[in-house]
Amino acid sequence: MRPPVARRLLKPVTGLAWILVVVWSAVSVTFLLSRIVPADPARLAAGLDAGPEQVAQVRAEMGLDQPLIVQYGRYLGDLLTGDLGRSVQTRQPVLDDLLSALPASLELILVSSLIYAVLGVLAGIAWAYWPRGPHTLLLRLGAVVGVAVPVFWVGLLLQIVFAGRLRWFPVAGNFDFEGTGVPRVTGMGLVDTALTGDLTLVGEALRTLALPVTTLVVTHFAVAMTLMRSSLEEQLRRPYVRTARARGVKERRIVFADALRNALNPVVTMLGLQLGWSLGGVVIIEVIFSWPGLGLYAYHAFSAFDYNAIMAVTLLSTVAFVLINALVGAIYPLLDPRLKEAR
Amino acid sequence: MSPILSVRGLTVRYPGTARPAVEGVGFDLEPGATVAVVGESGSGKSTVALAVSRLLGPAVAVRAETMTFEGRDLLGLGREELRRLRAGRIAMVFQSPSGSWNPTRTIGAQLVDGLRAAGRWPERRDALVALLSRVGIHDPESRLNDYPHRFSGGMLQRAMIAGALVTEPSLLIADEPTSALDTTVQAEILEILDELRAERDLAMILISHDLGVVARLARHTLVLYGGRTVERGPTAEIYRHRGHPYTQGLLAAVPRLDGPRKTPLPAMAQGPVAHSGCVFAPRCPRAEDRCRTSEPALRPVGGIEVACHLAGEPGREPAWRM
Repeated sequence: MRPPVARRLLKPVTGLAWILVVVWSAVSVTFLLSRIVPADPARLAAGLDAGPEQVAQVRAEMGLDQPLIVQYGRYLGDLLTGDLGRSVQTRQPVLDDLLSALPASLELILVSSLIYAVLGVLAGIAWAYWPRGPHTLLLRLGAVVGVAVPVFWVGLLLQIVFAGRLRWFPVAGNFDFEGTGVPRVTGMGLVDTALTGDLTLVGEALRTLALPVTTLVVTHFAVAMTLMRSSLEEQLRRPYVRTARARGVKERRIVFADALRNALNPVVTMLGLQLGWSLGGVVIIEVIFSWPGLGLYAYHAFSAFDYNAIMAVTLLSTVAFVLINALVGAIYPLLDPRLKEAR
Repeated sequence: MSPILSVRGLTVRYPGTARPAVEGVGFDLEPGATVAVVGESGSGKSTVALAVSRLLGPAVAVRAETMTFEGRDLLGLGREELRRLRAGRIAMVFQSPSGSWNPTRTIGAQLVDGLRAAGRWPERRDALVALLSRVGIHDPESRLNDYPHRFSGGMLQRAMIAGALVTEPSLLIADEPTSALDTTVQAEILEILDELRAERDLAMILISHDLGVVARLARHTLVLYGGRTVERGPTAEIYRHRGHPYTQGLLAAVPRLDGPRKTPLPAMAQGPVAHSGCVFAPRCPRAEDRCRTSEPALRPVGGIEVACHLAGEPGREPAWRM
C-alpha cells in the first residue's frame, strides 16, 4: 500500500528540515567552542610584536569585542550569504581556501574508498563462500592487521620502506601541477592528468597517490571485509536459503541472486558512515604525507587557532556527513523492495 | 510394489554433541503412500526430513545401513547429483511460511529459480501458473511479480506447495507444513496437499507434532522420542493400541470435543532424555528397573511395533487414561 500523496511529498521537505537542523546545531556548537576556548585569536593575529593597543584594534576589526550573541548573529548572517570569513593565517577568504584544498582531499578519499569498498566486499564474499582453506589464514591476518594497526604507523612504515629505501614512490605531496605544467581543471591530479591523455603523467599522479591510498585501504578494508563476511554467512543460515537448496538451486546462484543483496544492507550502511567520517579522518593521512587537502588545512588551522577556518572545516565535514547519509538512505530501497513501497 | 524410499538404521549426529539426534530410524515408503513422523520438539523428526533430503551440510554426520531413493543410494551421491535430485525428484515444504521466502525477491523469481535448477524453465511455466491457481492463488500471473510481504502466511505456503510440485517430484517431504498457520487455513492447506498427492501418486513424508493432522493424511506413522523410534505401524493401529507410554501421553493430550469440559488435559511429566536404558524412562510413569538398564528394541505387539519392555504385557492399562 502506498502512503497518501501528501505524505510522500512532505517526506523530502521534513528530510531537508532535519538536515538544516543538524547543520545549524553543528555550526552553533563549533561557534560556541571556538569562543570559550582560552585562546585569543586577536592576540595571535596581531603578531608577537603587537602592543596592547594594536591587539585591541585588531580585536575590534575582527569584531571580537562585541557581545557573544552579536558575534553569533553576525556569523550566521555571513554564513547565509556564503561568507565564511577570512583565514587568519592565509589572509584569504576561507571559502577560497576550502575550495582549493577540497579537490586534493576528494581525490584521496574517492580513490581509497572505492578500492577498499570493492576489495573488502569481494574478500568478504570469498571468505563466506569458501570458509575453509589456506586463503582464510591470509584474510584473517589482513583483518587483524587492518583493525589493530594504527593509521600513522602504517603510513610511516610505507614511507620508510617504499619511499625511503626502495624509492619507488615519492615520500610526500600530491601531483605537482606547476612543475609539469598540467592545467588545473578539477584540481585532482589523477583526473587532470587523464584529461591531458598523457599516460606518463597519469602514472606520475598514481605514484603520488600510491602510499597514502594504500595506507587508507589497509586500515579500512578489513572492517568492510569482516562485516561482509559475517553478514553473508548470517544470510546463508536463513531458512529461505535452505528452501532454495531444497529446490536444487545452485549454490553460486543462491549466494549471488538470493543472499548477497540482503547481506549488502549493513555493509552499505557501514561504508556510508566510513565515507561520512572520511573528511575528518584524512587529517592524519594528509599530515603524514603532506597532502595539501582539507585535512592538512584543518591541521594548520587548529595549530594556529585560525577559528574561521576551523569552523568552516567543521561545517563542511558536517554537511558532507549529512549528505552522504541521505545518499545512503536513498540506496536502501534498491536493496529492499519493502522500503520502496513504503516511500 | 517396491518402496520408493527405503531407510534403515538412520543415525545423525550434529558436531559437538554427545548423543546422536537420530539413531536407528528406519521406514519404507511405497509410491503414493504417506508416512508420518511424529514427536515433540527435539525428538529428531525434522532431522529425519533433512537427512533424507541430504540438506544437513557437511559438518553433520549422517549414517545409515541403507538409505535408497528410487534405487539410488542417497548417501553415495555427490553434491551435484544431490542437487539434481532435489531439483527434480524430491521436493520439500517447510514450516515457516515467511522465513522460507527471500523477502527481497519476488515470488516468481524464486519459483523460477527452482524450475531453472530442474532444467524445466520455461517449459513448465504454464504448469506453474496452473498449479498456483490450483492451490488457491487468484490471478497467479500477476502475483508472481509480488514480493513475499504482500502474501499472507497461508498464501506463501500455497505458493511453496505449488513450487514444490511443479517439477513433478515423486517424493514430497513436508516438515510441519501447517504448524505456523491459523486453524482454518491449516485445514485448507492439508486438503490441497492431500488432493495433489493423490492425483499425482506422490509419496509423502509428513513431519508433524499434530496428531489430528497425521490421522487425516498418513497411512503409516513413526513415533520418535529422543531420536529413537518408540512406535511404528499403521496409523489407525497406533491410535487403537497406544502401545508406548509416550504415544499414550501424546494422544491423551489431544483435546476432544466430546470429552469432559472441566477436567484439564493430562500433562506428561518433564524429564531428560536418558543416556542408557529406555530413552523415555525418566518421564515414564510406569518405568521399572529394567527400563533404566536395558534399551528396549522395536518388537511386534498386536499390529504395530513398539520399543517398550512393558508393551503387550497383560493387565497393564494405558497409564494416561483419565
